[in-house]
Amino acid sequence: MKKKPITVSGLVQSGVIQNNLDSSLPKFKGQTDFANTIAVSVPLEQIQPNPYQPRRIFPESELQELAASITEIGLIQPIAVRKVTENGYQIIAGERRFRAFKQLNKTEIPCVLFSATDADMAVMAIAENVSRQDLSDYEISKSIRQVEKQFPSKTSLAEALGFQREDMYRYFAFDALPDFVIEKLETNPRLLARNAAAEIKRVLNKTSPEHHEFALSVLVEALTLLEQGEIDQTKIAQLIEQKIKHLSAGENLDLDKKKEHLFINTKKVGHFSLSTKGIEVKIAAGVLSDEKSTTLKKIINEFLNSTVTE
Amino acid sequence: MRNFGVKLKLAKEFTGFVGNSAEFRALFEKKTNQYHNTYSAQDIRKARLTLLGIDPSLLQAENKLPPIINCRMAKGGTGKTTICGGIASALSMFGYKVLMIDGDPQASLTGLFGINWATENITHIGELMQKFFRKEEYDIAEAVRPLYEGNMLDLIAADISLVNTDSWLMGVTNREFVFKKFLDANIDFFGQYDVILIDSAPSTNLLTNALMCACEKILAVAWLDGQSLKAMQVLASNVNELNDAFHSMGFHLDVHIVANGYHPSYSPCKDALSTLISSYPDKMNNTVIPHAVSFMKQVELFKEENSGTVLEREPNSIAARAIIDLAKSLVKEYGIKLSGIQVI
Repeated sequence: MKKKPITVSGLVQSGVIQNNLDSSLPKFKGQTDFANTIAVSVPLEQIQPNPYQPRRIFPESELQELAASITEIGLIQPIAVRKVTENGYQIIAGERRFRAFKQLNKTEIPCVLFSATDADMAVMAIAENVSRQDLSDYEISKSIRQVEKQFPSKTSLAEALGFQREDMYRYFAFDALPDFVIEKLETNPRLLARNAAAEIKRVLNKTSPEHHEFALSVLVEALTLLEQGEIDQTKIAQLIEQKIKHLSAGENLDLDKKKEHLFINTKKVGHFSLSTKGIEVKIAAGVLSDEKSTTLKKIINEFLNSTVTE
Repeated sequence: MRNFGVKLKLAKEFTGFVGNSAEFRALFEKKTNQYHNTYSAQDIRKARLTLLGIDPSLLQAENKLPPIINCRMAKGGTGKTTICGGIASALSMFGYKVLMIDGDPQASLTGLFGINWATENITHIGELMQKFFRKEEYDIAEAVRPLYEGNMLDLIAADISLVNTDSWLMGVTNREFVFKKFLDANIDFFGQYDVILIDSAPSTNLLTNALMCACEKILAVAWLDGQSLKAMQVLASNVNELNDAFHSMGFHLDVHIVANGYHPSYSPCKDALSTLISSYPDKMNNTVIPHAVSFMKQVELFKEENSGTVLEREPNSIAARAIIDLAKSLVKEYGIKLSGIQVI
């Protein structure tokens, strides 16, 4: 018999060796691990913002504060740029510092040069901002959409960004929201977080076509309440769901629960309630004898069957 | 000069020929219609070029340095020389023009091919570099020892005096790039080869650093035991240090790892291989060189006929097969081309 050559993949496949041990050997550093730390001064007019920058709002007050601190103590950390043309650079990180420099009417800014692909740019811009936690979910979702095509699959995108796959899909939920919600988000990106967006998307998706208009009107109403701070964003989806249920039951939300207590003399022994979920009769233990329970069951059965035949 | 040829079956495999044997034999002049013809490296190169429709006499050497495979490990006895010599003879038999440089003062690669460094007059790589930097006369072609006909496998041999190169390097400015400069200055000579193989010494010194700084990717030969894995630590810090120091010049050295000495009944081999693959999943060569008896047979020193690589001595052994597979994968890994022609 001819011996098969030994291969790493063959040994892993047959389970003879493992490829998922805690690696104890020191790493060989990759090319990107060695940062070129020499800063150069680049004229401001040669620098463009990162096209993948997810941050939409640069509050004027913050910029002024930053500018003031730069005038006082200078720029501690050079901004990171990549070269795109002979005399053109794009910001990888540090757009706020760049804007502050502009405000100070400076001509040049200290930069550290990095080489980066478009995918790197996107990931760096997002990762930097996400980790700082001052970027809204809506802004993150927009930037993810922007860079999506740089990656072969959603899984690799999620991996590059360090997200869980399910979590990334929550960011995608913003896309499914109606235009009037998006309009509001454009001006106030913090209005809805990804979980709320995903819930609203889910409810809207499962709403039957004849109730769709109604669902949207509830959503408009809910958004107004949300803006006024009278409702929590996590409750919006629930509210829509409930209202639709009542609509189909032909009832108003106020009629939610009609609970009537049942008494023997003056002692509460149970209740009869009517809600969108159904009719509920509860009788405390020990009130009815076995015989009476059987009779009650029989009566209910007969009653139910008579309604069917009617 | 060594008179080595492979028989029909291997010759067909190396040429990449799929037709029947009679057609294959027809590719060669002079060969009789016998089974026991042997095919030399030169024959196979000619056949490959003919099959590609290229007239070998019209080929011109490229004015570009070929890929360099530097066999390296910060420990002795891991099989650097065996693998360096093995893949050199295999690559040559695939039809590539190969130059070997013995970069180890122990001169084991020189000895592997039966050259007696004790008695022969040897001009080693250190001497050549030294002469080049002192602007003295030197002739690389004269220093090179042809091993396979047609310059298919050449060797710049070494002897113990190569240790002196280290003390010379001490006083040279930008010493890490001495070897790289030497190659660039003699690009006409080195450009005629399709691949350069270096057998490095285990120690981390100025010469091994200089030999590494001319490469893009070293071939780390890891013997599958605990001690060898510890040597990876030395190698990693060595490589990382060079990368750190010369990053700003655009220099980056990568590492490709081949596991050597696998024995299925030794559990430490499996543990070591598991650790290696877990630590360096994207740097491992898929071929595992077995701990085979063919590698271990006593070779009589300094007798040309009793020396040579495992491919020469036992071409059909499991050991030779592993070396052939490794060499094939390295053609892809290092982008080795047939006279500047990429063969897919």
